[in-house]
Amino acid sequence: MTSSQALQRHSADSGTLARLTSRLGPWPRFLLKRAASLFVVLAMLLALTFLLIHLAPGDPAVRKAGIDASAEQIEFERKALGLDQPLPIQFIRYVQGVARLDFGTSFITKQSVTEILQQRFPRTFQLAGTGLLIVMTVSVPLGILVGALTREGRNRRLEVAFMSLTSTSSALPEFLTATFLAFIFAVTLNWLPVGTTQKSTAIILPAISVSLRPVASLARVVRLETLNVLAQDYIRTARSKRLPTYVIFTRHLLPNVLTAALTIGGLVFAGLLGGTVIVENVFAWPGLGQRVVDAVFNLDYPVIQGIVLYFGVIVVLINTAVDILLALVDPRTLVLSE
Amino acid sequence: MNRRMYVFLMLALFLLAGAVAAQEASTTIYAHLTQDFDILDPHVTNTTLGYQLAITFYDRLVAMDDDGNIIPSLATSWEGSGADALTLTLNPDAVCADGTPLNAEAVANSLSRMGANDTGAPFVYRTLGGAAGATEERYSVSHDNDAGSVTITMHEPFGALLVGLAMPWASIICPAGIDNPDLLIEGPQGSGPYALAESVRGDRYVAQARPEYTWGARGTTTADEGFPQTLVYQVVDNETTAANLFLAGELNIVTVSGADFDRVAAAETFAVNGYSFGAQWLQVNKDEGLIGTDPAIRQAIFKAVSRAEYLDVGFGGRGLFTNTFVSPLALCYDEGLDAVYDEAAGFDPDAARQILADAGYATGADGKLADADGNPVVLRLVDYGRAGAEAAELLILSLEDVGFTVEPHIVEFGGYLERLLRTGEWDVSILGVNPPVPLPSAMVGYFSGGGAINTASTANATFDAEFAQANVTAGDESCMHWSNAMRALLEDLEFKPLFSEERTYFGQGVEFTLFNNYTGTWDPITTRIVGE
Repeated sequence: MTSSQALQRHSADSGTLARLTSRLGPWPRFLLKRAASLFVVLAMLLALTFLLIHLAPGDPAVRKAGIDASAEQIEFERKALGLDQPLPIQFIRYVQGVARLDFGTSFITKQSVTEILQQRFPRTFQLAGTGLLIVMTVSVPLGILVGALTREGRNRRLEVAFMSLTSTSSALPEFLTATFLAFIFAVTLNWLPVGTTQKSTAIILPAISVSLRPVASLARVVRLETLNVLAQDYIRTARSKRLPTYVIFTRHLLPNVLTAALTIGGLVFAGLLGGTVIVENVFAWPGLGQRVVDAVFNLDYPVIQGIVLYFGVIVVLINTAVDILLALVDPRTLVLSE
Repeated sequence: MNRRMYVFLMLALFLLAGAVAAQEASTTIYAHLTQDFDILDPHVTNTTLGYQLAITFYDRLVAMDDDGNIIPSLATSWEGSGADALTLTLNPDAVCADGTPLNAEAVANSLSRMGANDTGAPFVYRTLGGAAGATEERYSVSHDNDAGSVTITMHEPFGALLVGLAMPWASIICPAGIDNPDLLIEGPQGSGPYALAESVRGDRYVAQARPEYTWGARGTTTADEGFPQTLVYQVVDNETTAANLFLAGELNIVTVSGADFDRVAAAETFAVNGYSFGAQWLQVNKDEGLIGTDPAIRQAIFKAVSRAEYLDVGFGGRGLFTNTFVSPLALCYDEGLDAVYDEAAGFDPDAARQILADAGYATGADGKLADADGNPVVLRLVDYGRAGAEAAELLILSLEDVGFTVEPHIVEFGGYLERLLRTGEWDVSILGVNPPVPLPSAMVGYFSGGGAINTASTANATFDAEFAQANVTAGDESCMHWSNAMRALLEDLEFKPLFSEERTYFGQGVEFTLFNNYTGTWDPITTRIVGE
């Protein structure tokens, strides 16, 4: 087939696809497009995590065999890991393994990576979930409150204080917040535990550490959204009708603000998962973040690959879920995505 | 019941609960595990964490006291030596945690499995003598159930067999584990002072003292006053977090380094110091065609570097200088070699410059050395920054000071291993090894043979002949051969010994010693809870 023929064929295929999708309703078209982009992102994620083991310095076979290993043992491990095969074959095997949820075995602890994911993800989810709870319960009321108090240029001092505080908080990296909180509240004041997951209070400091930045960022967004909504004509109309303030806030302001907050909330959760990587280490929280840092220091490639892929898939799925949720809440999104 | 009586009863109950809680707390200790273990099979594990857990759940035939002397443990007495055959009489009271009696046959099966080629025990060669590799042919084991004894017959004599039997990898595995090794992956099958009560991988391991345990080394029983009844190992990878946990009272035993060491040390709690049995050394790659094959270059490199400065900058001055590849605490250490070290490799930059000039290397106007063809003398320094960036910088500056052009390769650990073990793309490096056994024989693979761990390609016929003799003899004769072997390495400028690193374990509310004086593990047998 010549290149022009191939181009014509491709155009014909695209045309067929376009015709097919045009016959579908907006929802199936939207879902089909989301599924296609999900597929592409997942394929890229697979390729990147596969290349991780090849781009990282050091020989995985040497790592697995150990420093005392003979050349024969290292070669044996290379074969066992399949690293003696051509790259495309290795990639196919990797994809097959992932399809079977077989991510290999840790070089260090000899545990299957799937088992590590099963054991540790609930802990990470618990931490990120608690963080999200804090983010939503603190930032939304805070943002609305400050938005309401500072509307139309009122309370300049409060606005400056709020902006300064949230700017500083959103610029603080998690490791710094975590170390600071651990030192003050656990080591110095001894009010809360540093780690020890057996204590129910052990989650307080890590959860605050992961949520401080998103609380600050989301509170600013909610405040802006509040100011925006409060400036709308329908709010003025509601006021002119002398509707009680709580009715204006709960019936007219809150739903609009919540839409924005929930949209960002999904993305915040994905960000919180990333934030747990460092925070789990500071508080000895036995989640995936702690394990992946440990794996990086020990060049435990299968564990790094497995956890990075797992985190990646979760983030991609969350983003897709947020897109769908947005479309459900605000059908204009369907039109915009066309 | 009137109101006053009700309040009184509630108060009494509250106080009682508090007292019970205090009682429980007083018998439980929390210890720091710096990483998760690899496998709970004591023969197969190759991590210090694996050893720490092995000595918690398993016994060994003999133990080592604080002075390095061999003392009874599962074996109450012994006859003979590793020179030909060693017969050990066992304590008849020993029982496995699953209730199986630990008789002579069970012990013999464990000893046979330890060295079997199929077991793949990485460090058992250190118990049985000789270089790394297959160990099955080196010995055989027989037993007499009636006499309660086992006999180890050495096919190749090894004078330090008893010391080797005190090592963690020589732990005795109970019959259930021998019959089904899969059980050993995550669950101990031992006769030690503790049984595993709870295991949460990567988080914590709860060990419960066995009330029937009366056969510990030094006459230890779990009923001894202060013996911790529950020992919780808490996995904490991050040293700063471990230090925080310790300072917040959430850990009783911890080991940390660097800035965290200073923070914990400032609390002035109980502390045990130890020094590595191995050492760190400066080495030059002697692969064919490389500049390190020239003895003058090697000696100039050695004399250019001050080990005292390197220890200060990289390890806060916490270490013990050595004149060989093991620490002064290892068996057969010869202080008489200090003078040989000074002559061959002692810090003297002026002497280094003179050696290079005498060997025909000219120094240009820029202060850089050049060979006879006028090419700069370039050294590829490979390091992974374990001692910190400042220590690597010190090495670079020291070598540049005598005229070398240094090409630094400060890489992460994987890249470091890659260069040292596989590609050979390096000229100068520092290597450190800390074996749990205080025997020079544990380290010969780094200076002899064709194994990957002989990273500097050392081939010294005198060393090979002398250590072979040292291995098959015992006592003073063995030590004399070790001394000759190490002298050959120094005189032939094969390496520059640096120091053995110091490590400290801190305790609060507890006191303990190091297991076999090894800095990788503390000894649960000697641990006692002490008053506040």
